[in-house]
Amino acid sequence: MFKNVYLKNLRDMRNNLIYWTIGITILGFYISYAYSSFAEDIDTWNELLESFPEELMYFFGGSEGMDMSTFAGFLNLEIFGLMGPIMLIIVGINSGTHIVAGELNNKTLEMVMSTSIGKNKYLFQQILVMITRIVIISIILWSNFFIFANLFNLDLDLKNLTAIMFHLALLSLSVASLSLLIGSITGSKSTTLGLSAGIAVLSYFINSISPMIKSIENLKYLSVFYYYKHSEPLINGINFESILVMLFVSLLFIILSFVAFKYKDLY
Amino acid sequence: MTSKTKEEYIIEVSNLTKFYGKIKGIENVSFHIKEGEIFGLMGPNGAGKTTTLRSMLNLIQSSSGETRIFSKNLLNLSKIEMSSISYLPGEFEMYGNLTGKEYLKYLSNLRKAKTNNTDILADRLDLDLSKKINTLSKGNKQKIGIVMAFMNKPTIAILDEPTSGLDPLKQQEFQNIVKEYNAEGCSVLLSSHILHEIEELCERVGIIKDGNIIASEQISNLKNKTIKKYEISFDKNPEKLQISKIKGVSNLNINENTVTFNMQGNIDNLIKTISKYKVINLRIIEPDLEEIFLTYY
Repeated sequence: MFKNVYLKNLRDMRNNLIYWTIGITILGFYISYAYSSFAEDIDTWNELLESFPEELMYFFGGSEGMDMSTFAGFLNLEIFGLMGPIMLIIVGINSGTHIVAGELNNKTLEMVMSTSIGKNKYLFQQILVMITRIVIISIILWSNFFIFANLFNLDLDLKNLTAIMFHLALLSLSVASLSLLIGSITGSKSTTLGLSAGIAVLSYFINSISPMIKSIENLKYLSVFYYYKHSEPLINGINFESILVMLFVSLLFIILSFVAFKYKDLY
Repeated sequence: MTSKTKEEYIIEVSNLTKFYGKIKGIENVSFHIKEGEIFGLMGPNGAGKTTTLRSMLNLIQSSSGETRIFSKNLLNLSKIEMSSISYLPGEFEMYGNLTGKEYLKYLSNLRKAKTNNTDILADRLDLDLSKKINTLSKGNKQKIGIVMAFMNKPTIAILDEPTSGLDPLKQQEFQNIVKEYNAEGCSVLLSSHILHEIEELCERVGIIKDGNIIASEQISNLKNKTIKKYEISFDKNPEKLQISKIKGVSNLNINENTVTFNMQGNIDNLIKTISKYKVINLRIIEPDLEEIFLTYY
């Protein structure tokens, strides 16, 4: 496990992944069990939901696709509107920050970089670690809802569940790449964490608020949350345009990170 | 791998300059190291030693200047050449969740090293590599650093304050290790503010002050240039010899037949002068490196 940067960091994330798995499993069980328990009163819930102002619904990821009469609609409201993005954004920011800013903060990078590994190879392997972590946690989340939906006989389209997880993973990758870039420029862990989280929150609010105000409606295109959720992948399946935008943003941030890291003083 | 011609240097640093914004780190630092040499870089904390080493190895971007290693610009070295250079940073942290053994194995793998003397070196330094790094004392962490520096039999070892936190016995063992690896062909750049360590190990030194190299030469030459103390006993009172008039003599004191004084520079006139009387005893007190060092500060 100490053959290269990728395997060493994969080993380091073992415990972290175990905790995530436990947490997500409890959440998956709880959400599935809760829905199966009050499925009989679904009409009441839908009436309650419809009574909410549209503005409030936007804060939970938009009003479309939040039909409590289906498990998919319920997941859209409870998980993929806010909690899922928060979880995957935390994973993304942590992963992206660790690569340069975190290692510099811990003073561990100088020793590693004094070997013959080279900056590009180090960064490439760490980015693979970052992607692996996001993919694993996304798969854990995906498999949980798949398993518990079957266990509680809840109707959930596997293809659409895969679609929303793909969108969510790319949302996480976009934010992770942003954190990597900020870390490669500033080298400061606290700045990177703060700026990344701030931009993510701002992005969420831009997507939530701009559709309600005609004059700033187009600002939503600047928010990565728009590309994550506007097409309602859990209802309508994958949206390739959104996928391409999030992939492009991630790739752009990653390329810029290579440039910034090349000139970064490692101390 | 390390092909060199006649008087080419294994390390050649030319006009290395690093500014942090408008603040000077180092300016026009130049020195060279011959193959098989142990070169000392000395200066107090904050003089620019660490900045020099980091700039040399491109761990920080130098503002100008060049480092040539194995007669090539550092950036053009092959992976094999790079892996034959070891660097022990002055301030470093290791992955606390790993054992010493795991950490050293990791670094050795990153270097793609073929030889590994980890266990031998750890034994010599009484270092238990099975313990997690976050349970080790500062001294034991430093020992891991020293093992790391020499475990892959480097051609060049660049060491920044390598004995920081080590007890005197282990400092002595460190010096033995450096001498042995040097005898096997390892060139060493040793940055330290512990002067007796430099004096013990190095043939030449560079003195760095406020980011500039202010002297770079053999320790013996440095000593020759500095003031020595003389104590000479004659068979009679030496007052008439007028030693005080010899160029470079100061602080002269005559006590019956014995004269003591400080002298700097050529001793030819002194020898000619004192040979007029019968010399009973002559004692020259060499300045230690610390005294030399202080003359520059």
